[in-house]
Amino acid sequence: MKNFKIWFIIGFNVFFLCNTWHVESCAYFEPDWELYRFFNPELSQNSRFRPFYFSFSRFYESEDILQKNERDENLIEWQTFMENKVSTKDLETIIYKSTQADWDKIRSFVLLQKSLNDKKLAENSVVQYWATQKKDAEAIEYLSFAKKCERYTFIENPWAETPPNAQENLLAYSKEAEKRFASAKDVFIKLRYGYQAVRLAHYAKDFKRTILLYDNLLEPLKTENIVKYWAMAHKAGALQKMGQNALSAYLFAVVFEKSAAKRISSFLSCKIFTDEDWKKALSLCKNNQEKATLFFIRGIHPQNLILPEMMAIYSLLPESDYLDMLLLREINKIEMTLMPLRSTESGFANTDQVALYRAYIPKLKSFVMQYLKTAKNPQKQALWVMALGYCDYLLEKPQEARKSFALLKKESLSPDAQKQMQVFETMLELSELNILEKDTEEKIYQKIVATQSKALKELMRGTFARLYERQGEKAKAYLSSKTIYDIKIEQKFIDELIAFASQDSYTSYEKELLSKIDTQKPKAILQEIKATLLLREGNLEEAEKLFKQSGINLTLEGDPTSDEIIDCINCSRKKTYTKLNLISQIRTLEAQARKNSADAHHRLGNIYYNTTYFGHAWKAMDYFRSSSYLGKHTDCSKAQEYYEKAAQLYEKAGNREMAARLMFLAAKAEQNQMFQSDKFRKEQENKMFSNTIDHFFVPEYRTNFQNLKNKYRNTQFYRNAIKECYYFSYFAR
Amino acid sequence: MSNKILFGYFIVFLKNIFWYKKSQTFLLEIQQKWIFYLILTFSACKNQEKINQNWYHWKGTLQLDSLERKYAEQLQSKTLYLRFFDVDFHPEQKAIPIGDLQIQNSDIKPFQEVVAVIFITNRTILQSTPNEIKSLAEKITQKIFSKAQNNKLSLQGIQIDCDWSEKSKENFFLLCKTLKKICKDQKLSFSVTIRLHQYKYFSQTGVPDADEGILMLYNIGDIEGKNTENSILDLSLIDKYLQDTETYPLPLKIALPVFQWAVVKRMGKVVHLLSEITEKDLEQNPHLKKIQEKRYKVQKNHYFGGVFLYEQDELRWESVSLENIEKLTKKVASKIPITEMIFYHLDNQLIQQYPYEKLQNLVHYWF
Repeated sequence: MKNFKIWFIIGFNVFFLCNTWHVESCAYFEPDWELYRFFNPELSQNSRFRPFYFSFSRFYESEDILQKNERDENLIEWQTFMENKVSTKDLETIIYKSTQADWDKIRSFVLLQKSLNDKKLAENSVVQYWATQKKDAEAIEYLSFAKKCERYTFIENPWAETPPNAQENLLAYSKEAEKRFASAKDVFIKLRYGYQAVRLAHYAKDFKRTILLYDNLLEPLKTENIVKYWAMAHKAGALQKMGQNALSAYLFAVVFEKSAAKRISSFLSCKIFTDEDWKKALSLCKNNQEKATLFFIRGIHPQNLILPEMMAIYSLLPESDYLDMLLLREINKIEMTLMPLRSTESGFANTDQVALYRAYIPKLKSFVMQYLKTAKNPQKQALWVMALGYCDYLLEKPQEARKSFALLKKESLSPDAQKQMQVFETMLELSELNILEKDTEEKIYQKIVATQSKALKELMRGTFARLYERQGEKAKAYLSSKTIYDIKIEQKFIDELIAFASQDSYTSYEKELLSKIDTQKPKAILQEIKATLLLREGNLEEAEKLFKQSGINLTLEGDPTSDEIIDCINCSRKKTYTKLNLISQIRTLEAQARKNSADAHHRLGNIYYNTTYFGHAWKAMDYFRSSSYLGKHTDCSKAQEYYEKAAQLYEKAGNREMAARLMFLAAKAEQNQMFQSDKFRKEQENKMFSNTIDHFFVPEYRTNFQNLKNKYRNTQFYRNAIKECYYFSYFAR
Repeated sequence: MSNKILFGYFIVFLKNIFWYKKSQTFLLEIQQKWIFYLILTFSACKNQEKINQNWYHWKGTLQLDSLERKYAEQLQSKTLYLRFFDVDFHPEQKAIPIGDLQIQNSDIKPFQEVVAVIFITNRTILQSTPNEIKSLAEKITQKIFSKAQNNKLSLQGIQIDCDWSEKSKENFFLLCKTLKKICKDQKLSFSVTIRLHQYKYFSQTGVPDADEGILMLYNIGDIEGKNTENSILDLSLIDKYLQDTETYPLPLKIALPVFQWAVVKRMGKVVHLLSEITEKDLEQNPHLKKIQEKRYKVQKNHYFGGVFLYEQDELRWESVSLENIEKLTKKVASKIPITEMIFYHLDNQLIQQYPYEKLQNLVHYWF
């Protein structure tokens, strides 16, 4: 009884108060966003901005890939420098995976002609190139120097604290790099020493020096080499630390445009805080492309709106490829809000957000139309026409969408664009369906399966479910969005599902639906569920017949005929039973009960108690038991009836101890009825935040407690009950 | 008056009773003195343990200015609860530290010691295995010790801030247990932040293994709620949490809000929290139109409070008045005994709204 109180308080409080206990809001939950992305972001054909395609992760690509891209840019530079005579893999090993010890060996081997007792290094094409083709002392000295600096510039372990003397060492290395810059002959190496000098000064937090070094060493080198832009990023960082935000933002925007390796970091670092700084940054731009970049960077910030930025870019550069990418990004964002509602009928946005996005689409559409008036490039035109049509689709105007799509010259579309149009056409076809007949269903199903598109499949299921619902085909409607797990919990439409599972033939989609129940014997599974529901209703004969028909007779843990003073749902039990033998037990006991057997009444009470939500044998009558809310089978009235009768019979037979026990069991059943009563629930809601339990003693549900108190005070059982049951001891006080 | 002196008086008084002739007036006098001494003695016996007032520091850079030091001095604050770093989950690298505190000036006078506070995201706890949790505890403490040592900060303890959930509870409690042991070996205190719902329903949510809990008396409301007026502090909600609650199994300190922000909503979603501005800034911004008390609508795209605002964005101003802090403290004092209150958080701009004399007076609600 005490345990019952505890889990019941837990259950009710969690159920009613789930908004004060952040369960889902704090749980790590990442929906499968691919289910709702229909407009392919790759259509912008601007892979340099791929990381910034719309995504709910920080970036569209994983950060490992982004890091690899950064390395690749550097490796390409070195490969060209080495006349393409070395392998990229070996370069990567030498530059990124070697240790200081490896470099000492390489230096000794190449420059001092000492022997190299390292097979791996000896076989490396870069080492071989230096040893046999071009003894490039400058390059070796540079890379060896860069490796030394790594100790302070590359922290492999994110948990490591910066060493206390790091700043001094970084500054010393920066000065060393500056010296070597002066003496370096090859421009390629000079550039890199300059970059190291700037970078090390930045990490040493000597921001003035960082800026000075860039201006004195690298700016005069009139080169478009990528390393210069890497160094520029450090200058931009230093400027930001010194509060020169406008110039900093401008330089980060330049680096963003020029360097693929530093695009992500420039995007993250480019920060403007005031209108003044924004105007200043714009005024520093040398041309419209640079200005457009600033608007672009602002537009791709996850929280920002894209349309105003697109309009600004369009006024500067109507043909800018930024626009294509922004358009797709914005539409993907809208899809995430609106499409879940059409697919699975659940969504992640609230009604306000849905309404706001619906109101926003016409504005986007106006801009698209404006763009199309001046667009000259056919590929871009095609993309924007598709966007126009898709906007109408999102506004649930399929006719308008078709009109827009009709403007496309399909023959001149790229293969990806053609594929996209097939997706849109299928989506339109789905949205225009009013009746779903088997041949249409089969045709659409096969078409969508062939696309291998998760999003289309999900949309198809959602559309079919709505249509079947409208057509009264409850089983198919239900199965379109549910699984066997849902069927067992919800226990809806079982008869319709059995009828569906009894068909002679199936379409491909229907076969897929059936397989959601079970791949081998879906009908048997459903029959077993139906039989369980019949058992729960007390229809033993029909239940038994159906259990036998299904051929399923699961072995369950427990003994429904035994009683427990303190309920234990999850205790392990040695005894087992099946639903079929439970039926025959009930029959036997009912026959004995008709002859006024107290024991039979007792055991029947136990069966009808234990097989409810409140007892350990709940699996006899249900498939799922929540610890947060009451299940489907909670009626303890029959159990109460049998217990009360058994108590009377025991009393008559002079067995007061057993009578007391049975009265207590009846009180338990009665209490469960109380918990489900409207009166109690209302009281519980009012006293939600209170730990008092006076409202737990609704008189009409405490008759057995009262009887126990009045008549069995002098029994041993009574005394034990006072000790064991908190409610009873409170009642009897 | 100290207990010893009063007790001494009491002994002398008793002695007098036995040694002096008993006249009626003398007896009357003795009775009056007896009552007086009883009152004094029992008053002296009442626990007048001082309630310390300390501060959280939650900025990215540590460099206390003169006003911040002054407040600390006036409130006799000794302990600075210093956010060292956060821990979040990265798909490839697993649990990683982010937002490392940059220490520009490690002179924290008049504070004498720090408690290193680490904010851990719930998803970090959820995504880690028990072995990773134990390793995480080691990494956290090593990083804290290095940082404290490198910057010559006197470390008094470690505090973990995490809004754990039912699903992450087991892992979180394991983390706490491991950290507590490490702290104990290093003679450091270990504390955890407790949210109000965890305080109220501790029998369901569980109690982490720590030396003490810090009850967070802010961020109670639903920040996304359409009808929310103030997500920082809603006194009516506080009442519900404090009513009919059993004694929390850990000794508690309280964290009080002394901050404010403008909640920016865009397309139905909260996108920014502007904490660098004041209500006056909102009122004086020509590009904002007041649509309701403490609610504004953006009329023109512009930068404000360090972010870019778009037309139709909505701003909701939220702050905690001194009056409400006093009401809050009064409510809490009637329910929870404490030895310390910690203000969240120490920032020149924010603390100016609260005269330190008034903050000092808050402790009197416990006396």
